Amino acid sequence: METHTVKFQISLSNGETFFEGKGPFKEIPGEKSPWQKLIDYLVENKVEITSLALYTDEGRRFTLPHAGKNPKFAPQIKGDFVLPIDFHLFRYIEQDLKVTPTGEITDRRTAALFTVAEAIYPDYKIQLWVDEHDHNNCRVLIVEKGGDLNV
Amino acid sequence: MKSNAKYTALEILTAAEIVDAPVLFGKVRVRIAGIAGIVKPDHLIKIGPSVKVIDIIVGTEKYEVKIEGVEEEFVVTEEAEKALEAKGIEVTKKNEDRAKAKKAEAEKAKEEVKE
Repeated sequence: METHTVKFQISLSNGETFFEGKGPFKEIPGEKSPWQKLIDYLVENKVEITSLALYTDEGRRFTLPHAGKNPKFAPQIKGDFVLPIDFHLFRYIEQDLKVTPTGEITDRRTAALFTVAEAIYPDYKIQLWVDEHDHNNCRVLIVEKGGDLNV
Repeated sequence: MKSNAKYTALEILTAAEIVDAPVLFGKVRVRIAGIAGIVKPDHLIKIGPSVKVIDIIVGTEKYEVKIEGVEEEFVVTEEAEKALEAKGIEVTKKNEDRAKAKKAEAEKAKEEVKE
């Protein structure tokens, strides 16, 4: 199983901070994904996500706008910014396949693998894409409601 | 509520007996059947024939809608049909506006070349 190199870091309204791959949010084959476990945790403990960031083991961090009342990023404290109403995370994969005329797949290679964090607003989403194979390749997309990829 | 059908998010929240369902969209987290980022009541959700329970999260509360049978043929509810139609009109208008803008731009470029 391929281990992800870009993982989520989450802060919650009760002051807790969790890291994907550590503690209760380790990836264990046959179990729910760490993100699914986190969603269950939110409901069980009646807490909200206040901040979602992506991190890498070499110490990089990519942070979405904060949703809590006390953001750590100074410009967001001073400005009158719209706050996200939810956050989401998914992995985007593209594969190159070699297929015989009979439909048999003879080769399968991962062409692109991104971890994508989303901040959800009433009329749009901000997506933060970080390449799992090249952490310098980071993109931000603003997606209008109904205008995103079918992923 | 039966499976093998397409519903609006509002229909599903109403079936879960969620109070104030119409005014929650765009204000708090709404997730239906694992779909995140539901911010409009007319968000369309397809419930496949094998679904037995629809899990819903609103804010930090969890709800469930138990499925009571399967539609023999795939059904789009009246509300979902209306939402689909509205979306179609919106997309068509957007495409028309885009085409008009493109045409105007091309004509402007032509005139500039002439000058």
